[in-house]
Amino acid sequence: MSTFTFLRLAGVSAARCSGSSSFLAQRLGASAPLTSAVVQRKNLSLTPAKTGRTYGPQEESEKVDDIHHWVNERYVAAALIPIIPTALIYPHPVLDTLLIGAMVLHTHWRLSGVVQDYIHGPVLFKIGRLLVMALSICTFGSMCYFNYSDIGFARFIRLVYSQL
Amino acid sequence: MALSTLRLAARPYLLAQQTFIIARCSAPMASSALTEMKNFWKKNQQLNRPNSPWWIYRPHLPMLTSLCHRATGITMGVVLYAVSIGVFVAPGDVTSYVEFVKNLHLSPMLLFPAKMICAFPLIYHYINGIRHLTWDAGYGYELKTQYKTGTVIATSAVLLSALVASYAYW
Repeated sequence: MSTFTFLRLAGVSAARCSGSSSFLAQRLGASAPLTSAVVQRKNLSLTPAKTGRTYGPQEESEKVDDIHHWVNERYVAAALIPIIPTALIYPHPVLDTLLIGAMVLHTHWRLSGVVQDYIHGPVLFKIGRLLVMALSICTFGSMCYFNYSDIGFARFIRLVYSQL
Repeated sequence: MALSTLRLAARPYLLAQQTFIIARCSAPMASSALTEMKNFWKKNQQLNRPNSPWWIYRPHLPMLTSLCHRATGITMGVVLYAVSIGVFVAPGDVTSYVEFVKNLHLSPMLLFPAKMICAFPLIYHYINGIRHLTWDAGYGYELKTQYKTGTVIATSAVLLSALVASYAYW
């Protein structure tokens, strides 16, 4: 499961376990307002596990167990924190290229994570990831061309926000 | 007396037997975790077991901020990809397009909210991204902290995007 889904659920499970109210106290209705995230529905319909749909992780590869990719994603995200204001305030070709490279890399990794989260099935999932890879390559190439032959990404943003 | 000497004599042999058994139990399993999971889900489908209900949570702030983070991220990603490829494919340089929109003379009443809406995803995702990275470093998981930081981030993102959108009028 991606980090987003885990953290979203972690917010809920923290709501369940924190404070003095136990799971039983919540069920009995005696809970603090911050922790009553679970709604009691009278008639919950039970949906059976769908046949033909694959649950759980899709790939049988080594990459699933490796921690380095996850850490590198955080490094790039942390690198984006100083790059974005610097590149937008002081437009310069080198900063532009850095900005575009880091942005496209971060977007590529996160969009393939989104595809991994929401698109299931043996065929559609692979198509989704191939599509994201192709689009990322096209975007990076287009942005490099734009930085080279046109005014540049940071100047473009500043133009839109100062002129219009 | 004879029994205890017999036990003393037999102990190394018996221990050796035990370690042999322990070594056999610690042999690696034939199937990986992934195949075990897949078999589990196959069994679920064969027995027609029901799924657990997953939409039982009333929307609360950590869930909404996380949803907003993902929504703004996806929006920005799609817009970045579309604008990049569009700028490459479209004829002429980008300044002419900005001039074209400027010559439409749209009222600031329309342009200011539009610029605010365009600036909000970047600013919100940026500040919330810092919050995500502090979570990854291990700080700030307590519920009160999450609520406090969540509200601060949402309001400051709206204010900052209004500030950035007003840049043309400074």
